[in-house]
Amino acid sequence: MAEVIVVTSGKGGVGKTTTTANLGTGLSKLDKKVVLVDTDIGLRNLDVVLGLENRIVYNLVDVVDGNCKISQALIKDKKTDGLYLLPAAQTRDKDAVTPDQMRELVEELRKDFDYIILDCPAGIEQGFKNAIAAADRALVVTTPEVSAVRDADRIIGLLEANEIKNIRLIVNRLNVDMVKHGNMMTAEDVVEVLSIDLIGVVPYDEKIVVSTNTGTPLAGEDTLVGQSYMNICKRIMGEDVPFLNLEAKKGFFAKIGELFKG
Amino acid sequence: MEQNVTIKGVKSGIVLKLSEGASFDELLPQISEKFESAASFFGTSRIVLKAEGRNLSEDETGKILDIIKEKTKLRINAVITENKELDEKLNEGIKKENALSDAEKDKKIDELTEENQKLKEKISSLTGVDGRNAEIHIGSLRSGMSYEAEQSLIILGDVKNGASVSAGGSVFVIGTLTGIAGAGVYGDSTAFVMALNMDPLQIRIADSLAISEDHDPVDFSKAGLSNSVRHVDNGPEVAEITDGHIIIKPYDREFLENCAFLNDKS
Repeated sequence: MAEVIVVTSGKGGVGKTTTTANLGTGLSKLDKKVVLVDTDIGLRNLDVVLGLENRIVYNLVDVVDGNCKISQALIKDKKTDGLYLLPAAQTRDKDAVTPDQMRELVEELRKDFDYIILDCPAGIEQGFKNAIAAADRALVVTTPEVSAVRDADRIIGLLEANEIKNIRLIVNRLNVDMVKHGNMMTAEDVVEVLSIDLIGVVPYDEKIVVSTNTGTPLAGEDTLVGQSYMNICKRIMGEDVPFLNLEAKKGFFAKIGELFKG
Repeated sequence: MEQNVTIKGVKSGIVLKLSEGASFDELLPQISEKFESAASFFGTSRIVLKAEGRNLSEDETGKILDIIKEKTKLRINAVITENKELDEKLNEGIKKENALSDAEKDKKIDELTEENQKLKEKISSLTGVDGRNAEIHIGSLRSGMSYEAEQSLIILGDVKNGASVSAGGSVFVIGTLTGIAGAGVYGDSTAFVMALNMDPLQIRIADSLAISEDHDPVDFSKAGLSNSVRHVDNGPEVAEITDGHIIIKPYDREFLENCAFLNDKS
């Protein structure tokens, strides 16, 4: 039975699209058939993060308007088997689709995929309503910053009001050093404020910027970030995976230095 | 029990037999019922109505005609009743009415024909695109913007990544093309796309589609930041269909002399 997951945050720029791309990549590396749906009509990004922007001919609005079949609009990922993208339209706006049309579209996709992941636009307007209309469960992404956490709280309220019961939290871009020096909220702090269950913590890593620019998600790669995403994927599938120790392994010289400091 | 109302179809029309045993007001609903049930059988023919069995007044005949009009698609050309004087009077009216509705029909047909002709002209003007006619768009098109022209299209500015332009004829970007450009959208495969700086995401010509190269992530540091901020500086180039594929080549004398789009249409 296919599961429909919406990735949302309220605040922009906290990593919804990057998370969506990485979870899609991770789940399909775990042999699931996954489709990522970009619901950010007019400001699409998911195609760039996956490195597929040059392949777009038809988009979500074309499917909804009946200009093409779903299969014509789906773009196969160039690196990961079993991963597909349904891109958003860039030259239209959010009103081009209604929640009912989204539900209908997702029902069609359910037949062919194990996971349907909806990348939600920032904000709580029409685009948000479209994205959550068809979702079975939600992943709320936030960074450990007061502004992002406040928006996440609002989003969780709206999700609950729309009877999405399974809501889990991803704390993104956690800077371990800053936390250690008491300059950043810990993941536990965020969980306490939002009072929903954590499904994963992703550490801050400059590699994500490079990965986003080159269109190559990191999930499954042998880095802390890659492993964190992979663990979230396993937890989505229902596995019980312990949380990673996010303190990066230090090099030999750093360890020596610490000895002398000690 | 004998029926008060019977309808019989004859060669030249319909015979309506009404009994004298009941009042006209009693007969009316029965007449209505009969015509309603027989409507599909009668179809849309033009007929003569003959009313037999009782003397009808002008008013009563009018009521019967109204029922027929309402319940069936028949057209009454003439009425024959037991009363000759009444017949003449009625038939004159019917004639006038029919002439009027005929005139209306003719007018409608004329209008539709005219509309049809206009559409046909529009279609032929779209498929037989004259590449020498062009629309000029002044200014750059940013992400999310699109512009469509029925003939050729000249853009005085850039077409950025995320923007798209299309034309029935050829597309000329007097600037940098990093977005999507479509030429010959109504099927002209000789149409082409020209840009001073050619680095498109996609080129579409007639039914063909070409996508940009995937950038190897390993070469990332060399390629610049991303597709949209790479600097391509090959001088003016054109994309056209050669041997069934969309090829990018320099915009030079050789191209201008051999281009079918420019030379085949005098």
